[in-house]
Amino acid sequence: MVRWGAFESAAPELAANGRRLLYQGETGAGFLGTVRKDGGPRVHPIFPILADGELFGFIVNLGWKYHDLVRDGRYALHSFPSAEGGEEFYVTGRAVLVTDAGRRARVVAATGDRQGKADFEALFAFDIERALHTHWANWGTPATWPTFTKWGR
Amino acid sequence: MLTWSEFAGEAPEMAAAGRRLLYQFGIGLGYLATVRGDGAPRLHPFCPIFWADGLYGLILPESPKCGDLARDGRYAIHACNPQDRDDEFVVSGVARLAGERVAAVRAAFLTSPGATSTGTETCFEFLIDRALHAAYKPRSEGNTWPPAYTRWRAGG
Repeated sequence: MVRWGAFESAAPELAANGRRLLYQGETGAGFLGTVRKDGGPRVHPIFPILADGELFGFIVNLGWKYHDLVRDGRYALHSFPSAEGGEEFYVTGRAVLVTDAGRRARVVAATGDRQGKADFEALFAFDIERALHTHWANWGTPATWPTFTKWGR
Repeated sequence: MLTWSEFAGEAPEMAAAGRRLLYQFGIGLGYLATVRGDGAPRLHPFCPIFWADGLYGLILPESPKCGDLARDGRYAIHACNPQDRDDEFVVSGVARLAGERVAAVRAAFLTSPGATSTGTETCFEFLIDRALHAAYKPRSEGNTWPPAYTRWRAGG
């Protein structure tokens, strides 16, 4: 389990593709999978943030996914569909609640003060265990075929 | 746990909104969360398919998510938001094997633009026990929070 920076050092091309696919717009965007209390899966959108060599996300502390991550930090994060189609980025690992005020302030600043200003926005750091980039050749045709680039155990 | 049509009978507006979001690209597109063998979540895009009364998926048998669904059918599916707003639609429940319907579901799927099939997929029907729709104002209107939430749960 490593922070984004260590993942980036170990697999720079994969991490660069991941950054590009997580940041297709002004802010990061992806779908976050968590585990419910009863063991079933949950999925919701999230705004991932790459800052300070780490992958973060602010999550409202009244929501179900906050409680999921506090109870069982295991997560799966998938990029939104790529603009041209045919590319995906996926990471899994463990999320940890960040309580350090200085670390939080740096992440808030990295979003241009657009996220994390309210107390109910809890900050999680997403440590990485595995990453996957998929490129679909001949996207949108019957001859489409994926090429996978994987990192992690 | 209800079929899509039964869910739509109980919550028609929500089901219509969900169907629009899942089919906004002409071909169905959603993000399917499943449970890995070790209990952790798995999440990948897939093509939801509406056929007859149900919501289906054709999953490659060698894919990890096929193994997940065969072992523990619990799933959650989230639609993509439209380009101009952040609307959400998510359903969850239990998937069951529907091998006897695979040919009809595949035929229905192949009518969608860009759809392809290996001819080997495993067919699952997604039964529904919870749904959530969040309707946002367009982003062009500035502050779009909070959205209007609609929730549904089987059995009330």
